[in-house]
Amino acid sequence: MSVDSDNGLPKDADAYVDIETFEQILEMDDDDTRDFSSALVSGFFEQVETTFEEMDAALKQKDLDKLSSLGHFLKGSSATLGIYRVRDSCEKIQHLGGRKDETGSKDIKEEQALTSIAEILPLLKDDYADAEAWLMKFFNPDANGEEASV
Amino acid sequence: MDAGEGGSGGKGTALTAGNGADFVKKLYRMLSEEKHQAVVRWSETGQSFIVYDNNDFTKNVLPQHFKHSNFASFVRQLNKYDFHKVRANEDSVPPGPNGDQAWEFHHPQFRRGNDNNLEGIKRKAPSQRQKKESEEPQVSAEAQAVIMQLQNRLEDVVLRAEDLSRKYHSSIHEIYSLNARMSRLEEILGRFMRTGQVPQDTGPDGGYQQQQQSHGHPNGYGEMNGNGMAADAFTLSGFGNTASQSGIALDATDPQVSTTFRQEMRRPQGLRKKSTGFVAPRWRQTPKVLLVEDDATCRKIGLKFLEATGCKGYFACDGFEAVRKIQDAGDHGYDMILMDIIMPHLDGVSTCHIIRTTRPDRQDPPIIAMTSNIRSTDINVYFNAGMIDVLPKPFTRDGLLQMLQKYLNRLRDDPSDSAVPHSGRPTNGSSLPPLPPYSVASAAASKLDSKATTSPVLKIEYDAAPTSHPDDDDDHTTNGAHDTPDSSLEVVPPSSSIIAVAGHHAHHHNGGASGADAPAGDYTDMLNASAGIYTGSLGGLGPGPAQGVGPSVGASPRGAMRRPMEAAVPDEYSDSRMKRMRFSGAT
Repeated sequence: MSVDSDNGLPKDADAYVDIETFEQILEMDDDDTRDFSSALVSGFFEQVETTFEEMDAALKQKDLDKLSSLGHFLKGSSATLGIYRVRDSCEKIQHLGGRKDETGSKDIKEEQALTSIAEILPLLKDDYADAEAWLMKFFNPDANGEEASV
Repeated sequence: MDAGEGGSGGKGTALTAGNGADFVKKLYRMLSEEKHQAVVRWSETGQSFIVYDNNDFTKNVLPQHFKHSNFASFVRQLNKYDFHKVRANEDSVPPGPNGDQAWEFHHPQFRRGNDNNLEGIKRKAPSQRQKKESEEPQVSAEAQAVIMQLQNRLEDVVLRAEDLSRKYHSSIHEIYSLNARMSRLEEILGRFMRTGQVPQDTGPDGGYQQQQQSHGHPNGYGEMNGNGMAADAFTLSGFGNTASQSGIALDATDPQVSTTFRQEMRRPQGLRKKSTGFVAPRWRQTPKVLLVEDDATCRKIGLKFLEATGCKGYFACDGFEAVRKIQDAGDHGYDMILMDIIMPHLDGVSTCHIIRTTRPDRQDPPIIAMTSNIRSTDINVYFNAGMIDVLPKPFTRDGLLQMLQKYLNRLRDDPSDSAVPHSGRPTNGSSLPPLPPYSVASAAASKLDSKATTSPVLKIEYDAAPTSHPDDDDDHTTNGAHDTPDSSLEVVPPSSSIIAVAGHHAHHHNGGASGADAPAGDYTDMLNASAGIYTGSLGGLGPGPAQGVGPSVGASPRGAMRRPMEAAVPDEYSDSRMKRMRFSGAT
């Protein structure tokens, strides 16, 4: 991972995280440790896994309200960490769950909302997987593979 | 009379019969005495006796013959010996002097002229107890001890009963007040759910505002009252402050403030240096801040930010918990509340409304909405619920810092009035919503991120401010002016000038130069522009020198002069005293 000399982040960081937001989190670490940030991120990983499961279940049950609320929930924490692709997809799900279009401006039918969510959910998971892998590597550069613990 | 015969016959045997049924013998003897004939005597048949006047009987006859002091007790004694009252309609009871007051008693073996049967008339109860009853003064010591014990026991029981009843009453009282609180809460929720709005009386034209005005709180809401733009003013106020620093695109009318857009706004800021120059404010008194947030990640980082800014962070995971914690904390509770909006159980708006029912002052404590829903309609709702500002999510340390500076300045060791000209009262352009000073303040605050300029800039701000602040939290008349330096319409020109001078992005320039006449719609641009400043001022990373200096540069000496000065100070500039001099000179 090549490192940007300006901020000490890997050069590809902005493909995964919002630099400013992410940096702010890192700044909260004491000295040179990454105790706080890595704990925060690993907490987030757990949160995401649970939320994904709930989203799958809610989609199966066609529970749009639940999907909207889950989207909102995950939007908040991903935004806090600056994981912007996840955040944006979650926002779309939040709107769709509210029977609006992706941007939240137009009313749409339930069927349509469910179809759209069914399309977005896999993309969201992909984006998350990418971000997760990157974060894993970032917080644990010495470890090999995805089993690295953060 | 007939009674005489019976009496003479009775005397010999009955009165000498020893223990036996003394009572019955006494009764027999009494009936034999002629002097009582008018009050008590045998009936015509001699099979029963009649008390004609129980008043007279109680007063004059009873004391002579019995220990009973009242008629009822005499009757009870009769009953114990199996005498029965003969009901008035059953037998012909000749009315006595008092007519219906006559009492006739009958016992099968108790007859006139037959005192031999008297021994056979026994108490129904066991003889032991009969003895006790009839000879009370002679109860054994043992029995007396038992009585004492019982009496003690009784006292204990009475005391405990009293205690319990006291507790019961206080519990009832508590339940009543809880009920009242509950129904108030339900009413509020009900009203809120029906209308989607909080009740009118707390709206922009209602209570809070008047309250603030009566506190002499010059935060612009009052001024806006007249032209009905209070809500918009709040909108902008809410946005201005943090939006400017976090670079969020603000649009009060566009229903979608999409994070994608936000993202784009933030991107250009690019990679910046890790800011080592962050200086936590020095607090005279550690502010206690309650973070109400259901999301664990947001909570963790929020608390961490609070810690970083020198506050003591508390948290609640939903509205109910928040209300409880605030109630428990009482008057010496939290100095500020950061409130998530969408939460399970009780959302932020309802929570705030509940808090405001007991603490109607918007400053007591200030409640700040933390949300990504920052449409103008949303913000109206927050405002109406009694919140004072908005911290757009994801909230940043700098955004937090500004809120702290703005609302908790009184707790600072080195209180600052921030960048707002203290003396400046709104004099012009009253048709404008007051553009809050946050654009200025935030630009200053953003300097915190650049290494060398941080403290001197802040220092200047502090120097310009009055240093004495009353400790009394409740003294809003004095504190209000310092706590919320967001009142001044005069702020508009300075921020415009800043934009014109320091904005590095060409598209930002439109909104800037229009000065005090700028229509409300231009605020978006202004705020965007000030976001641009933030970018530009970050350690001089901005793409180029200022272009297109607007005509309003000179309009506000303070804003126009200062900003270029600050912008011109290179990061390497290390002599803070010198810089301070220059800044001071500029103001």
